[in-house]
Amino acid sequence: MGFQKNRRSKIKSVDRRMIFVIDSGGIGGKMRKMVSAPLVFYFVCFVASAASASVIDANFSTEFYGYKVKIPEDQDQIRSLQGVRLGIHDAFVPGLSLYARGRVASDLSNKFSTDPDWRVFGAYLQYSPSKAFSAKAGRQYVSAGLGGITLDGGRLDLFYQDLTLTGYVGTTPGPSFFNYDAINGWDKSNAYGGRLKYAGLKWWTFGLSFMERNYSGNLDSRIGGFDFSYSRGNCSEFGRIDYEIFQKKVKLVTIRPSLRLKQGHSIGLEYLYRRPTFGISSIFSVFKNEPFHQIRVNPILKINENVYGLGSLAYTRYDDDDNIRISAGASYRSQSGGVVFSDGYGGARLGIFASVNRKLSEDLSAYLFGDMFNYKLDTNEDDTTPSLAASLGANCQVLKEMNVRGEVQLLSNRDYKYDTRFYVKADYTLRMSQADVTGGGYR
Amino acid sequence: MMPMLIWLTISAAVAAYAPTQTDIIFNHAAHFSERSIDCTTCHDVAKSTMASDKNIPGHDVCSACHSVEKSPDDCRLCHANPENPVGVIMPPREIVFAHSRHTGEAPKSQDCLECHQGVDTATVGLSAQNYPPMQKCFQCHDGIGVTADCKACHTQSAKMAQLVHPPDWKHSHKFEANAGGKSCAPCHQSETFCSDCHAGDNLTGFVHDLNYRYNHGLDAKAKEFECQSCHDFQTFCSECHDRENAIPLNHLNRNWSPRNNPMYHADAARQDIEACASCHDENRSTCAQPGCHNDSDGIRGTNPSIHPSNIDELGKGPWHDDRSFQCYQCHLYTGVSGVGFCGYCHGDNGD
Repeated sequence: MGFQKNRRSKIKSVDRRMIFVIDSGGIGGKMRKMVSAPLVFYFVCFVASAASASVIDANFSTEFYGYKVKIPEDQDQIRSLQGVRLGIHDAFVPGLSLYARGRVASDLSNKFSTDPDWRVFGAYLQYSPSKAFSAKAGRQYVSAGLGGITLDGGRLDLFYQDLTLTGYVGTTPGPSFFNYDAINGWDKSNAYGGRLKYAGLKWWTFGLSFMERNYSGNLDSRIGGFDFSYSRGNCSEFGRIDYEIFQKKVKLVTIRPSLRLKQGHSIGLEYLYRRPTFGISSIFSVFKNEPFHQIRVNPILKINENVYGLGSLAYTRYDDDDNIRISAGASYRSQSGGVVFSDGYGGARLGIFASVNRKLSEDLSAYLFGDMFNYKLDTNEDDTTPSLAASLGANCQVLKEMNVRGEVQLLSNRDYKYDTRFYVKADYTLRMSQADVTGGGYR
Repeated sequence: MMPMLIWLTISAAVAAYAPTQTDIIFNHAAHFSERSIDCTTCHDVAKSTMASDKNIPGHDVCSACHSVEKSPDDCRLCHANPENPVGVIMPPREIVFAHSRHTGEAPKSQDCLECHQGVDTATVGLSAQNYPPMQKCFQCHDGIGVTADCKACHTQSAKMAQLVHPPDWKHSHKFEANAGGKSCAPCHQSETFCSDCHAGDNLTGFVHDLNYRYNHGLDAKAKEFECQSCHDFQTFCSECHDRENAIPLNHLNRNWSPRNNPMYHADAARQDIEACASCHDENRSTCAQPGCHNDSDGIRGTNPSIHPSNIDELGKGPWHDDRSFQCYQCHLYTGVSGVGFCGYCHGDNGD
């Protein structure tokens, strides 16, 4: 019996995790793969609903990436990545949509036990029959105040006049690269929360949010938050405060006013206070975790319609150390360049970067990007490490629906004096609509 | 708290500054609301097919009621600078828009106000508030019934990103997104748009430098960038560091070993325990190995490397109500007085 289990491919379902585990022995050794049931489910949904949908918005991409890696000796790798993004609107019934985005990667020159490496970034059904509510079910990224998290679960938004009430609950996937598509059981990892947003005051938006996360049956964090945003004319502001309810500590405060002047100049100021917090059950939480303060200034100077001067100055103050980061540069249309300097806790860096983008024809453009740094990861180090990265590439709109991009990368770093890489990507965008009305006019 | 207060003061001052500008002297309210003159009496938009059409009434329309004899008094009625009146010069339009396709052949004033809100009560000319924001367009151009393609309206859609986003957008967009992303949604309707960059494989250096594998420690340690926005630091870091046995430089120092210098790694932990936690978890194999943070003599609180010296004075701590509290990483909850961990404080008689 044991022999049979080891020799033959088998599919077994894991209770409550909704994962199919595919084991196969034979050529190339044991291969273990995890394929999520939702992926299959959504693919079936896609095929079935495509016929009835009013709009299908899809993107298919194929990428190849060739490079060298030390593991521990030099080895060439050619990664192949196939991606898909789907949006199907009014599938079966009005207001019902399906979204999915995922990719699968595998190596063409080597066999790895982790290949094919599946990732499902999102796959969910959305039902919005009216402007009063919207419901989503499946894998989705939730962004609701302090809650920024990928969930396998559900989300409900209720809209009433200037109020929006959001609630979400589910298990949290991954985050390991190699089982990102796996759906964890509720006991292993879960999260839930919500947000109440009020936009009734002109120019202002206010939000109250809450999120709780649990790992392995233990409470990890229970956070409440308040955020606001203000936008009026050339002025905008954003602020947020997160409070760890169980530990009774302010976890994060950030506020960012910005102002765009009539002449086109602008300035953004940013303050960040963050206290490192650990899961409540983590033994690390007994250590002294001092917060740090950071102030950043981002001035943008408009020299003329095409030329801007850019700057950034950030100062971070820790309990007994500090760090300063400065960058300055300029941009001309889509070209830019500048210098970067940082020093203090966390290391030091001095470098330059440049980016050039040139349109060769209506459908063809070329670009060159490069940066060169001298850095050290610890200020106590005597020597700095040089690094260089450069990319030369081209974008070609082969068809209205198809874009091809090719790139040669040259790297020099701690491991490789020279490392040449190749990257090719082809994108195909499909958009079908049964009632596509342009609505536009004539110039 | 002082830096926070200073910052709040600066923010309040910035928030109070919001200039409102107007170039036109015209009282829409006096014409529309007080005299019930329909929009189409002056604005012949039913035939307008281009965004650059000058749908502003000329002297011929005004002269139906007003004297336009070019006397200074007549000019002053509408022109801010009657000595040198310039009228209205239409700016070049980047968008494609035909009023006729939106209003139909016989538009009513209420139709106009649907998009040009507040014009009926405007007394001193119009401002940007009286023109429809793009969100308004997307009420119909929702990508389902009517196209939401940028190119349907914008002739320079390829440059839209540059026009709309400031040069430091790569850094600053998080604030916009954090606020609720209401201004992102009209253009970036794809529900998975964010993941194009945020969940990509970083093969082209668009999000991170191509050498980021080597120098990301600068950002991770200095915490300037919120790595946690995308990465769960407790598990994400160890994904590679474990696999490739990549250890921080200070671990290579001979003093890192507690046998050589027990305080070296302790100082590092006190200074930045978050850095430790990015690779190590709280399980016993990391810290509580025999000879390290392991109270092996069985007498509670005797090893200062484990508990603070005042452990006996903490009283009724949170471990009473939370079975997931850190104590239970090492101790076993028994729930019985006089037994095991509970028995440390609670005697046989349950006091």
